[in-house]
Amino acid sequence: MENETLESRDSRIGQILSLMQQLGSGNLQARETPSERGDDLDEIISGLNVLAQRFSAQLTPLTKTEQWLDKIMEVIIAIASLDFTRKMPIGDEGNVFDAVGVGLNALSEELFASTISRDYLDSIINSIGDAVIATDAEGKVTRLNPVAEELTGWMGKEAEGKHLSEVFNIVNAKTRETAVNPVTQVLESGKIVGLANHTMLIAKDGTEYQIADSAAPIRNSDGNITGVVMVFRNVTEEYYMKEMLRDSGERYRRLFDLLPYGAEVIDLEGNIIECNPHTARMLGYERDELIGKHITEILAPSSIEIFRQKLPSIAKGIAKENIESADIKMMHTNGSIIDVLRLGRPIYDAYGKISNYLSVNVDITERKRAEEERERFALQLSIASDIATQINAILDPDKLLNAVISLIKERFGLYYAHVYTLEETMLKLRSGYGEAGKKMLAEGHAISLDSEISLVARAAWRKEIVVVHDVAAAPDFLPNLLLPDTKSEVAVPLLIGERVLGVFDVQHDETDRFTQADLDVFNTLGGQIATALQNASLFEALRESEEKYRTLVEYSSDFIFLIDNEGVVLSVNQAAARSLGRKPQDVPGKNVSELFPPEIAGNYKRSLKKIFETGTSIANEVVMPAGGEVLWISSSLNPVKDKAGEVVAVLGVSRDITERKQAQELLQESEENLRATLNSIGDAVIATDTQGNVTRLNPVAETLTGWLLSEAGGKPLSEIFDIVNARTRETAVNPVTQVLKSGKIVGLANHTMLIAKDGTEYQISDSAAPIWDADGNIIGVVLVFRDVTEEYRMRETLGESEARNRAILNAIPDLMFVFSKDGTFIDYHATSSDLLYAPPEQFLGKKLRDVFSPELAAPFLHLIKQTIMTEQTQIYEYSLPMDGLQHHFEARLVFYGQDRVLSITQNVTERKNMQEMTVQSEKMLSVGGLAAGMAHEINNPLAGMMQTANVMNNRLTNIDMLANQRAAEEAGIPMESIRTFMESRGIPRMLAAINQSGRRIAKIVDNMLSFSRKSDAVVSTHDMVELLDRTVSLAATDYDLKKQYDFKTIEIVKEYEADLPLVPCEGVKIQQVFLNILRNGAQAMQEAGGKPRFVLRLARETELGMLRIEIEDNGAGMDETTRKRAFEPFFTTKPVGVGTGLGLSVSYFIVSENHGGEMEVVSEPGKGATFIIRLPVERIGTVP
Amino acid sequence: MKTILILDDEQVVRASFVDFFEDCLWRSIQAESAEEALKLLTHETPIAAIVDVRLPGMDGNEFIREVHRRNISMAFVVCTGSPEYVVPDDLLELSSVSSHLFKKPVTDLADLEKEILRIIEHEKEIG
Repeated sequence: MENETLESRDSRIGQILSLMQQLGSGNLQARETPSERGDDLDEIISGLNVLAQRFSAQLTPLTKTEQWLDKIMEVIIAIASLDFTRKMPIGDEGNVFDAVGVGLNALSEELFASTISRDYLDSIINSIGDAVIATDAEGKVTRLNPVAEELTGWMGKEAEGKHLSEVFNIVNAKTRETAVNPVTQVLESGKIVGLANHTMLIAKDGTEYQIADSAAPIRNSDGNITGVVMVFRNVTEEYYMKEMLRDSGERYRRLFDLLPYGAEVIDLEGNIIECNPHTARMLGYERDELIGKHITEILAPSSIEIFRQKLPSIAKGIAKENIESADIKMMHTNGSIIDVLRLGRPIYDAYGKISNYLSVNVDITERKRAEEERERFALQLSIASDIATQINAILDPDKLLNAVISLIKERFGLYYAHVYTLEETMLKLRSGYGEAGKKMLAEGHAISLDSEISLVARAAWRKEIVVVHDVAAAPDFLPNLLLPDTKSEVAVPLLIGERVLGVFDVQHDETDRFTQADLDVFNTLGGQIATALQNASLFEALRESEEKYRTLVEYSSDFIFLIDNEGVVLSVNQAAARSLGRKPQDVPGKNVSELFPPEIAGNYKRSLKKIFETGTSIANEVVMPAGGEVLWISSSLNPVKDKAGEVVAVLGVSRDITERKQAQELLQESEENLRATLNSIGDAVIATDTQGNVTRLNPVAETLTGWLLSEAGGKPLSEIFDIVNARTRETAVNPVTQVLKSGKIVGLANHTMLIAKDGTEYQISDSAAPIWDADGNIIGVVLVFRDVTEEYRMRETLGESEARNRAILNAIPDLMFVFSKDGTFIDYHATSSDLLYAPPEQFLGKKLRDVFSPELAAPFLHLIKQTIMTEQTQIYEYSLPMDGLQHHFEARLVFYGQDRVLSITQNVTERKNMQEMTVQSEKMLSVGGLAAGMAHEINNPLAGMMQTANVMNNRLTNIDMLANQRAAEEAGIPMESIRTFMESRGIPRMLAAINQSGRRIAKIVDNMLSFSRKSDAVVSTHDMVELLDRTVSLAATDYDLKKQYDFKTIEIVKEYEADLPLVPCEGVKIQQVFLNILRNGAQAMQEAGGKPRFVLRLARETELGMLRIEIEDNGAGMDETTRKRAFEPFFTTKPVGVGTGLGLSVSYFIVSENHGGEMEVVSEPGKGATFIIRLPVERIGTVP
Repeated sequence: MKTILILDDEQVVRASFVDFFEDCLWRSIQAESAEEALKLLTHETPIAAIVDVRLPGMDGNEFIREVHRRNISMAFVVCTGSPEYVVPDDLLELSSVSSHLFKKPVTDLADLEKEILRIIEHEKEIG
């Protein structure tokens, strides 16, 4: 029996220990649900409890007890060494510690109660490997075990009674700051405390130890903490090892991962066992994909062999220890080759054997490419200069371009090259390489300069190089069937400064073959070619111009000849020879006397003589008989001088002017016709010469100016044609002068008036035009004008009436709008833009629905249509918010001609408001009249009800009443019992309810009566300041108000004008008005929340003879509808039963009807409400 | 026993007055018109009357004048539901007519009794 118990107890301890270990190793944390962890805790607690309970009862075999104690100590130490804070999830530590603490305390109590084992416990504590320090409740050391003595450097005896912090000096290993004393913490919290990480103990002699520890409270049977036990251990070695291990491991890992180069580790077979992210990125893999691949899988074929040869030596472990480097090529997943500088070294295991091989791969692709690029660039530059030198020697542009094309194509290793030159707006192919070039040339291939898709055109108009690296990727590339293999293309403009001469275009059969360096070379070359081309072209142009000149002379229709001083003809052109009836080669060498009749020849000789003598030119016209007809010949004979200025020959240019002569005769005839025409037309015509002198006047002009042609001819126009500005009477600008100056047709200025010779004035409209001769020279001016006096007068009258109309319109204060039939604002009239809802630019040209809300615009548009359809005036009333207030408008829509409507719009806000107010007071008066009639009818039944209730109350509850006592006696029930019964059944309360309701009805009736005009007013003069202030303090004590609101929390701002006049009024009533407003305001502000504030204002309104009283609250404010109805009787926004809805209407009535004042409210939702009361300062007439 | 005349055309109102005064140990007689009340006064001698103003036939004012004319000495308290009513000046001059006008509904009937007793006392003093 006993054995059994012992065994079960042992197994329980075993269970607890294993749980402890789990706790310690953090396995508990792995449990997923809190309930699982809870179960474990329960297990520990109950285990410890059971252990404690049974302990004393079964002490008997001491040996066994000793064994248990051993185990219990193990439990204690296990718990104490746990680094709970680190291993337990946050929030659970407290529970665990508490639980364990409860169990342990129970156990230790039992233990210490049985005095037997104190020595034994001592011996255990002394013999365990961990340091143990115990303190009392004040944190003073009570004992140290030998290990603790060794670590702290304090002997038990010295340390006892000293404060723990003195003996146990701990700091943070990293910061060297004093660490929190764990004992203090335990004493404060009553919980087990683990030491912070990195805690370092400084021994008495200064030796430092890295320690791991924890402290736990010792509790007595009452649960009070009597001391703390602290267990710790020197973990210096462990700590450093761990720190170092972690450091180096981490350092290696971080280095490996952050290396800006690829790095991988392969095993001796060449399998990748590790690689860093850079390697993966460099080769286009995910990191995990690379692990396990063979090294040859990521190498370019050309490098695989190198590795094949190297691997065996790696495998045999004979690779060199020092770093090997090699240029190899690796393969990207996208197939591209990456040049890599590979640095490798073996990794040795603990036995000095090679275990792995680490390589660092530096991507040198860019560097390699750049090197190649530099080489190519240098080569190409030399090619370019070579080409430039060669082509500069060629003077024929076509030959030049042909040479350029072949040189570029061949020297740059291109697929194709051709060149275009710019001719006006077309880029014409001038030279192309090979068969394709020939074919295109034969087809006359050309590109329009404004072609957007052509690279060549683009290069020309952008004046910059255009490159397509991959024609397949260029969306608008036009493939050329003759050049199927083109993969990339560059078009280079041939520029001289800003001038484009052409474009050369080169193509490659590989993509991405043109580098920036290439483009630079091409650009340079483009300039060279352009210069060479320009030189060649200039040369050609020069040659051409010489030839042109010769051709000109040769084929000119003029007779051109060269004669020496003897009259011998030196040379003639074809036309000259022909005119002489000879062949060109027959004429030279002959004398003029042989070629012309004697008379003409004599003339020539005389002229020649004169030219040779004077060195001047001679021009003449001669008539020459030719085959029965007469030819008119005009000649110009010019000296040809040598370098010394001596006349050596005469160059003659003659022309047959027979036709011209005939034309002149015809002209004279038409001149006669013209004159006849001019004379017969209705308009006045005056012609002048280039000096502005009159040359012609037709009869109408004679009539208007009062001048005859015979008088006027040769006189300056300004004398004949005296014009002034009709308005200013200033001299008007002479149109002829203007025409002569500008060479253009000129209209007369408006309001021009002609003053005739006799002083008659004519309003005229006219214009003047230049007269050109056949050579385009102005030879005179013709002025045409007309008498428009009549017309002008009519127009003036019209303008005046229009101006009058406009003046009238401007004076009309109404707004006017013109609408088209679709509701577009076409025009408007407003005496001030303040009257408008929106500035003109926001509505002119816009539709109604773009300016107004749909609710407003739709009926408006409907009425516009209606107006157009019926041609009847329509009226539309609407309202718009302006300056924070609602404005009312009345638009009269008038038919305004085809598809137009004129809206005459009046702002009727004032009128509306007046109407509103009138309706308001009418309404109240009728309510008042009704109330007066009704009051009697209501009051009587009310009296029956309330008075009866009054009597009932007396009869049911009044003990002292004789009648009651008598009746009670008769009924055999004591009156007291009746009252008790009544009270317990709540009868008096019910009667009171009847009474209260009745009173309310009576009050409503009474209020309504205020609306009847009758008033027994007691009028005296009052100081409004005093009255208002008194009302405010009254409001603060008002019971009804207090029920709903604490008036004292409301801030009162007073803005009173000084020296206000007294107001004759009925003080009590005005006070009632103020009170009503204050009540409503207070309630509104309470509902709105926020900081309540009243602003009270008193001011004089001198013009009106009124005193203005304003009460402004900052409550929720009212919307339009509420505001309009605020003074309406029985209108209330309060819940049923809270207000009668009469307060404000009574107030309104008091102010307007009883005092002849005004009352209004200004409010908007969210902006509070301001009640404005105006009371007349002087009483007008008697009190109504 | 003190007798009081209740003159009111509204039965419920009349009853409430009658009940109240009975509780106060008065004897009450009632009439629903002035004519009926005058008839009652030929054989009854109440010392006070509660008089309604608006009555069928002769109104309350005229009734008081008539009683006064007949030299019947009694106290009058006018009690009316008409809001615009005021006690005419000729009646106010009479010491037997209460200057305090009771408006219906009378919220505290005890005030009414107090006023009646006051006038009676006052009349006695005058003699």
